[in-house]
Amino acid sequence: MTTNALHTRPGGMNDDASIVVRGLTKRFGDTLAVDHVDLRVGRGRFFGFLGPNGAGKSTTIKMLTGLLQPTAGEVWIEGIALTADPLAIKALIGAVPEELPLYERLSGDEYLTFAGRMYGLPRDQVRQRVDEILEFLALTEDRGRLIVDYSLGMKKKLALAAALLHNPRVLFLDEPLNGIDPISGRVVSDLLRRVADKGATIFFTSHVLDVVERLCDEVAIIDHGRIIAQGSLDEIRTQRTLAQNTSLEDIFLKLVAADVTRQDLSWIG
Amino acid sequence: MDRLIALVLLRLRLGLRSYLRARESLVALLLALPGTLIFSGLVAAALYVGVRAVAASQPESLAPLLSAAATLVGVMALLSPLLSGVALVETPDAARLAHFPVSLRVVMLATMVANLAQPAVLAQLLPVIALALALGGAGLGAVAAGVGVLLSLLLVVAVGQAAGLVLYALARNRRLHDLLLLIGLPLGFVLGLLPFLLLGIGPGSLQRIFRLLAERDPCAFSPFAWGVRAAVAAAHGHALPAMLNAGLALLAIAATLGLSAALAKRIHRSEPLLASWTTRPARTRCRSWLPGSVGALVEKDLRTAWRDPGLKATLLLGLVGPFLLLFLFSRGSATLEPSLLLLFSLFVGQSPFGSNAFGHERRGIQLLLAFPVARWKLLAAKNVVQLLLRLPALAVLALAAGLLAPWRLLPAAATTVVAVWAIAAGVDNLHSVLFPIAAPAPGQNPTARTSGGRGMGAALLAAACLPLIWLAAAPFVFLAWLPYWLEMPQVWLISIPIAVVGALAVHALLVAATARALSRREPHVVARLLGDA
Repeated sequence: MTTNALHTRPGGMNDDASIVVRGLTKRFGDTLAVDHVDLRVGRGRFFGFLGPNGAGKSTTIKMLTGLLQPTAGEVWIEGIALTADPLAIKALIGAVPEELPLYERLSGDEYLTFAGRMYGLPRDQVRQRVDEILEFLALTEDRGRLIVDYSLGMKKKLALAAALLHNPRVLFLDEPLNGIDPISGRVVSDLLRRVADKGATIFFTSHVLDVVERLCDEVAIIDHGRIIAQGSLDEIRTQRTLAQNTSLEDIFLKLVAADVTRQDLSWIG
Repeated sequence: MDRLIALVLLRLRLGLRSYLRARESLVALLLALPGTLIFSGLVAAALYVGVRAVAASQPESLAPLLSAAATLVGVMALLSPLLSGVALVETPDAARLAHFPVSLRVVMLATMVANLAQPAVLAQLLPVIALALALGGAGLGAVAAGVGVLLSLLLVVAVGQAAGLVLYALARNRRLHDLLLLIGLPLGFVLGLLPFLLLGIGPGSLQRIFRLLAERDPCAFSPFAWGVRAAVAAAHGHALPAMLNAGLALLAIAATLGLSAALAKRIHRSEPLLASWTTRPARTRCRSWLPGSVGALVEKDLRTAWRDPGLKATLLLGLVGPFLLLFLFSRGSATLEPSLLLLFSLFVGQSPFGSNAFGHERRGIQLLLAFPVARWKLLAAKNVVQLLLRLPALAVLALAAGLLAPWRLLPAAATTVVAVWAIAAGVDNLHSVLFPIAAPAPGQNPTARTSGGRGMGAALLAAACLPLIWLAAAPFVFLAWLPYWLEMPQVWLISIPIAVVGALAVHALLVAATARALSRREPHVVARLLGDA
C-alpha cells in the first residue's frame, strides 16, 4: 500500500465517506448494464442497494470489488482509488458474491482456514476465529464435510464467514440471506447489524424488502442501470412527497414504475 | 403423435442451437465432418468387401462374426456415457420433461428418434447401408437385411441412452459421481489403446480370434446381435428365423425404452438408484503444514486436485504414459539412443505447458483474486503445485530412463528436463493470463460454452507457443549436452549450474511479467473464466 494511494481522495470527499462512486458505467456490447452511477456511502452505514432483476446490482458490486472492469467511472473505497492500489482495497473489504465461488472440494473448515491465511492472519488467530464463527453460524457439526455436499444456505453462511474472518472495514454482500433458513437469517442479519454498529460499512443487496427496511440506514434504488433514488427512507419519502408510513415495498414499486395490476388469465377459473 | 413430434423437434432444435451458439463446437464439427465421412466410407467399403468375402467362402460364419461385431458396438455404446463423463453432469431430457403430462415412454421414444440425428449416429448409416447391400444384394433382399441391421442400430442407440440415465441417476450421489469419473477416464485410456494392442498381437493371433468367434458363436444370445442375425437370415431367405430375431430385437428395444422410462421416473422423484453412500464428516480441525500465503495456496491446490476425480485420474495415467512413451522410443534397441533421450527429456520438460494455471480455478478465480496477496505468489504457488503433482511421474520417468539410457547421459537429460520445465511453466503462466480459458469441471462437456468452449483457439495458440519454449530453452539445453558432445564430462561441473540458473532466471522473469500482466488484466481474466466477456 503506497502513501500516495491512501491520499488519492476525490475532491470534496470528507473523511467519513467509506465508498464513493462517480460516473460508474458498464457496457456489455450494446447493453448498458450500469449507466453513470454516483454513490456515496458513509462509514459505518448499512447501505441497501435495491433494484429489479437485471437492474445492474450485481454488475455494480463486481465493479466495486474490482472483479469487473468498468467502462467508465471512478471508485474510492476507504479513500483509496480502486485503480491505485487494488491489493490494499482487497485487504480492507470482504465480499459475498451472488454466485458463491467457493472451492467445493475443500471442507468448510479447510476453506475458512485457507481464507484466513490468505488475509494474512496468524495461524493461532485463524484457528480461534474459525472455531468461533463456525459455532456462531451452527456449522461446527459440518466443518469436516466437503462444501460440494453443503446446502445453499450452508454455503451462504460459509461465504459470509470467510468474508468476516479478517474483520473487514467494508462488506459487499450480494443477496446474502437468499436460501438461509429464518433462524439463521435472523442470526446473520443481527450479526451484520452489530458489525455495522461497530464501524464497518455494509453494502447490501436483497429482494427481501422488509429485511432491508429493518436493517438499512439508507438505500439506493437502481433501475435499468441508473440510480433513481438514494437516501434514508425518510429522505426518499420526503423527496418523492410520499406519506411517512409508506413501506419500502410500496416506495420500490412506485419508483421502478412496476405495474403489478394484471387482468386474470383467460383460461383460469 | 403431436407430443412425439413436438419432443423430437425440441431435441433437434436444442441440438442445432448448441452447435450454432458455441462456434467452436460448430467449427470442430465441420472440421471433423470430412474425416468422419471418409472414415465412415472406408468402414462401409471394408464391411461390404469383408461380408461378401465371408458370405462367399464361409456363409455359416457370417452370423457369428456379425453378432460379435454388433455386440462390440453395443458394449461401446453402453460404456460411452461413462467414458465421456458427460452423462454424469448433463441433465437428461427425460428428467427435465418428466413433469409434463406425457408418458415417459413417449419421451424416451422421442429422445431415441432425435438421437438418430446425432452426427455420431448418422456416421453409422453408411456402414449400415453397406452391410444391407452386402447381405441382401439389390432389391427387396437388401431392404429386409437393412431393416434387421437398423434394428441393431436402434438398440445400440437406446442402450446408450439408458446407460446415460443409469450413470446420471448414480452420479447424483457425489461420491459415486467421483468414483465413476475416476473409473471412466482410465477405462477410456485403456480402450483407446485396444486397437493398437490388437494390431500388435499379429495377424496369426487375430485369425485365431476370428476362427474362435466363428466356431463358438459366443454372441448368439447378445441382444445387439438379434437385429443383424435377422438381417443374415432374411438375406438367406429364412423367413421364420428372420422374423423371430427381428421380434426379439424389437422386444429388446421396447424393454430398453421401458427401463429408461423407469429410470427417468426414479430420477424425477429423486429416488436413489443404490443405497445412499455417505460417510461421517470428520470433526477434526484442518491442519496447515506450509508457511505463509504461498503455503496456504499450495495446500489448497493439492487438496482440491486430489479430490478432483478428473485430475486424480490424469495424475494416475501420468504414471503409465511415460512407460508407453519409453516403450515406443526404445522399440528395436535395448538402450535409449542419445538423440531419443534428448527428445524424451524435451517432451517431459515441456509437460507443465498446457496445465492452464488459472483455468482449473473456474469460478473460484473470483475468490482467488479477491485476496490481498501479491500476484507473483499466486503464480509461484501454482508452479510449485504443478511440480509436486508431477513428481511421482517424474520419478517413474527418471527410473525408466535410468534403466534404458547410458548413465553418463543422465546429467544432460536431467538438466534438460529442469531447464525446459522452468521455461514451460513460466510460459504457461503467461499464456493462462493472456488467453484465459476455464478448464471443464469434472465430467463436464469440454466443448460446452460454459466449460471453456474457446478450447480450440487455445490449442492453436498453445501449438504456436511450443516452439517459443524450445527456442528459449535451446541455449540451456545446448549447455547441458555440450560436455557430452565434446566428450569432456568435467565441463558439466560448470555447464549444468549455468544452465539451471539461467533457466530459473528466465522463469523468474516470466513470472514477474505474468504477475504484472495479471495485475492489469484481473477483471478481464475473471470475466473470461466466468464466461461474462
